[in-house]
Amino acid sequence: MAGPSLQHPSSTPPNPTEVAQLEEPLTPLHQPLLHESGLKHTSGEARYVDDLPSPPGMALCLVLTSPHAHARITRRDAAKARAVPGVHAILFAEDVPGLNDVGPVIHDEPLFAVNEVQFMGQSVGVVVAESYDACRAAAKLVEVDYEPLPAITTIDQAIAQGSWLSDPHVMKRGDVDAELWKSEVKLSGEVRTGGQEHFYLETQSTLALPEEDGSVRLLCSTQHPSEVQAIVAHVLHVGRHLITVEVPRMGGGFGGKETQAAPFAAMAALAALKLKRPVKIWLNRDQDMAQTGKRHPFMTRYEAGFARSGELKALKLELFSDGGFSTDLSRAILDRAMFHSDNAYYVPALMFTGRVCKTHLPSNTAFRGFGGPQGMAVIEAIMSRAAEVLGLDPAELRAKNFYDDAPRNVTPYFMEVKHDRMPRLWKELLASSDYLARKSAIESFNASHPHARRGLAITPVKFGISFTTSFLNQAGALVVMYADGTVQLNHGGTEMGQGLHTKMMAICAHELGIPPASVRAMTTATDKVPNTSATAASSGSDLNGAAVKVACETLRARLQPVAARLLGVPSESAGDILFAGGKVFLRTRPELALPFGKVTQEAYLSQVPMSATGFYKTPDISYDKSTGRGKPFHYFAYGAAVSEVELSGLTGEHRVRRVDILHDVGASLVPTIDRGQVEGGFIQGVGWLTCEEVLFDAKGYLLTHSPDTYKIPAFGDAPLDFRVQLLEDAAQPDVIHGSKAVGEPPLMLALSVVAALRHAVTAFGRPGAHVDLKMPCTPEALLNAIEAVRSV
Amino acid sequence: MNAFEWVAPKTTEQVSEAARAQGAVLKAGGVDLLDRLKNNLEAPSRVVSLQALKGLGGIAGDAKAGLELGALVTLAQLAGDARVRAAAPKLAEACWHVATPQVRNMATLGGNLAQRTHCWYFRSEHDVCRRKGGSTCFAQRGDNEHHALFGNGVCASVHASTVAPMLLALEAVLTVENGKSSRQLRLEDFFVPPEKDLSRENVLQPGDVITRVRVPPSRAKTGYLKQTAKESFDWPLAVAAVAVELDGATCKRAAVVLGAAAPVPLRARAAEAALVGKPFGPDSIREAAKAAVQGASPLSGNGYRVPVFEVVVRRALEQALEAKS
Ligand SMILES: Cc1cc2nc3c(=O)[nH]c(=O)nc-3n(C[C@H](O)[C@H](O)[C@H](O)COP(=O)(O)OP(=O)(O)OC[C@H]3O[C@@H](n4cnc5c(N)ncnc54)[C@H](O)[C@@H]3O)c2cc1C
Repeated sequence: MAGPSLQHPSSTPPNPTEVAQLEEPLTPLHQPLLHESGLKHTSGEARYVDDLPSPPGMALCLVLTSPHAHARITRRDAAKARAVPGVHAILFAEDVPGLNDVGPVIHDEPLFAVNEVQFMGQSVGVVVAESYDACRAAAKLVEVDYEPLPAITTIDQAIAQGSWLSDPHVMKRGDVDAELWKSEVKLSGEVRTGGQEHFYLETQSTLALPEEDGSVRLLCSTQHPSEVQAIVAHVLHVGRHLITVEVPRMGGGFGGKETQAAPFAAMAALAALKLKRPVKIWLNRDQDMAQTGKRHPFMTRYEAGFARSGELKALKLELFSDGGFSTDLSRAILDRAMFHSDNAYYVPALMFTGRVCKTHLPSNTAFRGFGGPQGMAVIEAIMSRAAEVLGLDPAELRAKNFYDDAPRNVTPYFMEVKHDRMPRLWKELLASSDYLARKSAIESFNASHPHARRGLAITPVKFGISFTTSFLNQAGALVVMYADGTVQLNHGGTEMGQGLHTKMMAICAHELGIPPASVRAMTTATDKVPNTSATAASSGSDLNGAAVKVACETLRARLQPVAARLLGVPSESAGDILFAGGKVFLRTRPELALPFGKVTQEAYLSQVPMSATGFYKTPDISYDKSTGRGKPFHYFAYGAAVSEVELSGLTGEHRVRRVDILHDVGASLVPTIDRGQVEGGFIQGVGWLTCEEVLFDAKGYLLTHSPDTYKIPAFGDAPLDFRVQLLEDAAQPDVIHGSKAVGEPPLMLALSVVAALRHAVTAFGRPGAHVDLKMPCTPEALLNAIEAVRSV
Repeated sequence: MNAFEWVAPKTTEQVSEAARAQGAVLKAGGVDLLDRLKNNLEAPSRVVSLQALKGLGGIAGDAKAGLELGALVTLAQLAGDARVRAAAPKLAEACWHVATPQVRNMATLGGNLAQRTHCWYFRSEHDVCRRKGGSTCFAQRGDNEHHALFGNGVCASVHASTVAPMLLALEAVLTVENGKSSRQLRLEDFFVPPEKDLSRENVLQPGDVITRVRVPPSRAKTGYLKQTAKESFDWPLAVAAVAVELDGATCKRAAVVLGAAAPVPLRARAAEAALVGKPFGPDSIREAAKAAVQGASPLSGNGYRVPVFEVVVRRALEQALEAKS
């Protein structure tokens, strides 16, 4: 055997701490990294679908939409419109060769309305023309006659009329009525949370390119390329093998491109195949806001029983969500709201019932948190209210109700809470935020200030990680090595600015022991990794990261014998060959290292396969909806936030003065990316809870259809003092490199701002006065709440 | 948006001529006009750009002589100009508080005064409200939290400009040209309430071009406040602009102007009366603030802004009290 002769290395597996020491400086993992596209985003070089150069002959689309919330279509005539110069086609339901439906789970969402329209903005057809001018000129000439029908535009109307999109989903434990009756203190009421517009910077867009043999390639801004592929295939009545969906990157998704990219992609694909020319569809901001669904508004009725000590004894909830006109993901979103109606608290006796309302509004859809925020908002309002009524410190009351040792460790759906990080996290955050001292400082401020009151609150977040539809918890990767030692990385996840590619590149580089610069994350494409799940449910890194790891392990195992030969190591010791810092070496002889590129070159010459797939499925999860029991989550992500606000009793304006967050991301894969997710999630939550208000008028017209009237927080609205820490020494077993999911959980940390505002409002009245603070907490809502506590 | 003819004449006379044609509109920065076109509120056959006009982009004058502002000066320029900040600091501040840097870089003074209301029913092509020839004011019985508290019987929209209240308090005068003719118009006489004429928000006739805005020299102490729902840029919940001239410690003349309160920028006459002839101090300020909201006729959803206006007026007057002059 060639190469230097070595002593027989030991064949025991490497000692993990030893490896960790070796790897520490040599791996990009767990290190701060720049977002892989950060500089390009900033300079404008990053290309989104609408930035791609127009292919020759490309046509554009304009969706024909319903001007009524609910109406019968009595006549459609596009003859005059078709004669407009530059118009290539005007397509309606009858032009769909396959199934005229784009519902992701249930087929109740027509691509084009047939006899009936069910919301203002619903697509009736699409104009395809050379220019937007021609599209608009033609759209004006399309004649559609409607016979208006009564419309349901609120949850309350839907309940009154029994208009549903689901059967009730029930979770229960114990005899809740008896326990409520026995409780020393009983609270009841109603909590409402509003909708939220996704406001991704890049609106919905797809470029469809017809290729040979009736196939179509779609460049699409979607979180769920495989579903777009499946839906387009059934709309076109072809096999999925003829449809390729590629996602270059998204300018934000937030859940709004999980299911709702598909209808627009389907229109472009349909037109492209019909016309045999490239077709692009792109919505402007107003169209996007009016035609797509938002976060589900919820109305929840509650009855809660507490002991005077502050212990929660029983909780009865009735949740109603506004699903809009079609099912979309509403049922799963309602489920997740119910799974999070306990938040971090043990509820001994309970009955939760949930139902999705059908209204004549756009079909509401996934939005960061997927129902979790709506569920948590209710229990947090109840906790605040209980503390107010009982005169207890809200932080203590909350902590008293945390999950604990058995039997207080079982969720309402009978899943055991393991690795509970909340008690530790809570204690550390109370200390690092100086909660107690600041609380008393605030009390003296409130006692002395004539018009302003400050509020301070700490709230927890416990968020279940996994798709609650269990089979979705799977992912694939395809890692391709070239002879020079560089690597192309394909995985099933999509990049929407959240930093998934950065994390996947770090994992890939770590596994192969090469610098991230040698790894290129490729455009996500259904022809590279098939049958993927949406990049959603915060699961992108967990699932795809594990798949990338498996693929890299396969490649490493193939390279080890090659390296062993080069290093002159006996083949039975090939398993002891390590990959780190761009080098390949025997664990015990790091000084005799080979460059990675040399090993790959040799592998190629030795006819070793240089690409591998990886696959991962989350072990051991399931849920039975009929019994309300199961283990829907692989684990929980934890966090807590302390927010301090100042509220003017004169104008209702408030300012978030300081926020301290301690969030559990396990052993962070890339701490800079995770911190960005925590900060962004929190601010987006603050927007939902304080300034973003989705308003439809009685006719179902969206009044807030542009940034003119719909107010998202801007830089100026960020907390004046914003301190974000990631929980240390918190590696999570059984998750990729000890990390935890981070996409959604931090959004719910914003509930601390509402709790702090409640604290400030109470300070305007007598202790114990009932605070009725509506969300979003606009100046209007705050002034009304202040007036109410003052007048008691 | 429809197709239209685009002209960019070089002289005011040519602008007037081009703009007198049926279906012609003027465009300065285009911030408001383009929104209206894109929302299908109107479909002009001709858009007459003012941007090629020379001489409407300047700022002249000083504290002594007063300010002479070209109609095409942008809000960003006004906010940053040393002469404006010295002669009318609160005007600079009012301009700075409009929207975002991007908007302020495009928005012109003339366009700001002549912009249309942001009432969300007016801005919706689906709602044919009274201002658009219909028979209903949807805000009166619909979602009206941002709507008018005063003078809302015919139309409940509020005037969109938050700069106009300050200019009104400073008794600004417009130069309006039309072809060869030119006239001076007090800003106070520029706005038209809906009771008078629902079809317009100002007196401009076809061919009229605002060319200059003059802010006379003034010894008044001033105050300005725009209260918003968010800390960063936003439309207002309440605006108050005040100018108070003193004779010793006594108030000789007072202008208290409310923005976002009524279909036109509104002089709060009762508040002014509560100040004039009295020592300018906390007592008269409190009285004036109370008087400012007297006679408010809130709708179902905007009553919460009545006390907000009272506070905003008080604070603006307190600013004036503390101002050097
Ligand atoms: C996000 C956002 C927030 C905003 N917030 C505020 C705010 O807080 N306060 C506020 O005051 N405004 C606000 N605005 C409105 C903005 O200030 C106005 O749209 C802008 O000032 C209009 O100026 P322009 O030069 O772009 O006018 P254009 O859009 O060009 O014109 C507006 C109208 O004025 C007419 N016009 C323009 N110039 C003349 C002239 N010289 N003579 C006669 N007629 C003329 C035009 O015909 C047109 O009808 C906001 C706008 C946005 C987009």
